[in-house]
Amino acid sequence: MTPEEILQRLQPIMHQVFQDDRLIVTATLSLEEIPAWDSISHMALITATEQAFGCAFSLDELVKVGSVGDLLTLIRAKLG
Amino acid sequence: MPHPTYTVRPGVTIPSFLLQEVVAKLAYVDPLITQVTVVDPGDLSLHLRRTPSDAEKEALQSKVQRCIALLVATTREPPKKILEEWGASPLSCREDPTPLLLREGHITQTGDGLFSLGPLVAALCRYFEEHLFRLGFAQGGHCYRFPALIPAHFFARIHYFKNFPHSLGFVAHLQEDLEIIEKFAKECRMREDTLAIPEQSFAPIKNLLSPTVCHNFYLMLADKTIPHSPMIATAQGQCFRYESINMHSLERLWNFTMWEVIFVGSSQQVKECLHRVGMEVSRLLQDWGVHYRLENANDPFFVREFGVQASFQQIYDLKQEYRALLPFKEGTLSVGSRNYHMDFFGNSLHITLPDGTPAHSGCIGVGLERLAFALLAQYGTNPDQWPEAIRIGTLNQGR
Repeated sequence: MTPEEILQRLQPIMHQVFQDDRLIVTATLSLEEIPAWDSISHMALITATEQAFGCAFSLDELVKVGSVGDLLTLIRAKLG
Repeated sequence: MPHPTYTVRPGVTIPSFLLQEVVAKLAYVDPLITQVTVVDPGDLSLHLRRTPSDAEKEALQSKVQRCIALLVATTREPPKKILEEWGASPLSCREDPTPLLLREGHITQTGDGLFSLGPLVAALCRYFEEHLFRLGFAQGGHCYRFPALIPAHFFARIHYFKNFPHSLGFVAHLQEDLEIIEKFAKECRMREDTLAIPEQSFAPIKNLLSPTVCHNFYLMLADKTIPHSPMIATAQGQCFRYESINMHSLERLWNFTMWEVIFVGSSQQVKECLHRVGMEVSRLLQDWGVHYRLENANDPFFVREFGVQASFQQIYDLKQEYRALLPFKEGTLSVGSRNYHMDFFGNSLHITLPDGTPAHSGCIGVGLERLAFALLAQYGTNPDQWPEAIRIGTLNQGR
């Protein structure tokens, strides 16, 4: 799956999690910059991403995720 | 008479990293439970106050399984990170100090999780408190003093009811009504160890017992712009966390004393303060001869919130605990913590920086009774065996 395809799949997930259809999802978007970001929405994003891509992330892996780009890298590593 | 026991086989496998948390949370599942132990091959033995009816057994089974399933389904294994480890010389004491402390009257248990401290232990607490305050002042902290009660609306604003309902203590008073007060005075009776009172005696709850010291500082700053950044406060106060059947000895008190240093400012400022002051607290523990580890940790959120909130704290490294060695059980006890709250309180309570952005906050806290207990567990109850600084320093603290 290409990075663009992953981003395309992530966009509706992030719109749903952060309740914001206007959110522009790019690889450089930092999660902390999203107004609705907090502990609940962060973990909801992780869970929804795992379900959508059929993978599971450990906390060790999630420590490195601070941006959409980091999440993208993690997903690509899981998908192989 | 031994308590009846009831064995539960969890419907899901409890991973080893979660077992202690599950056992701790089962204390809150049903008032019949007096103790929870793990039996091979992974069953849980519930020790009960009395023999349950069939309906009670069914309810117990259901609640226990629901609690376990929720925790297992939502909790991820935290990475274990030991950030510091200190222990200058081998410890020779291997005894639990509690029986001796009780026998010799150094501590007196007055209720569940309630202990009065005699001169030996109180002097240790006073000594630690004095030096921690000195540390706080040296690091730019200003002294504050807060009430032990906090209004319920504060807890609502910071979502505390959702995150830690199990540990709350509520403050009640009689309704201001002559007939109700007279009826109470005439009819209230002790029923074993609980107070039996006429119905509808209490006024609605407006205040709760404070679980921390720092919360009162954030409440003070709520809906305000802080005058300068960072603000650094240091205070000591009575804290209350109900821990049910888990309250044993000085290890886990319902009412305990905590010293804190509290930071409110920008993210960079708060992190810098936490690092700088944290190093000084570490140095102080080492100077005192306390064997400890500094580890990543999470708060004891209640069942439904535990997985999400604990994971978030671990991912963002928001909490580290000073865990003092307890040689008698080959384990450790959390005696303090460093906590970074990001802009959680800034956003929830509208605390703003001079530039108008939400404030970040953090705190470092030390539990005085736990620290005293850890020292006694490591060196024994004879002051002649204590590290010199503490032996001499407690002489003028009323020991």
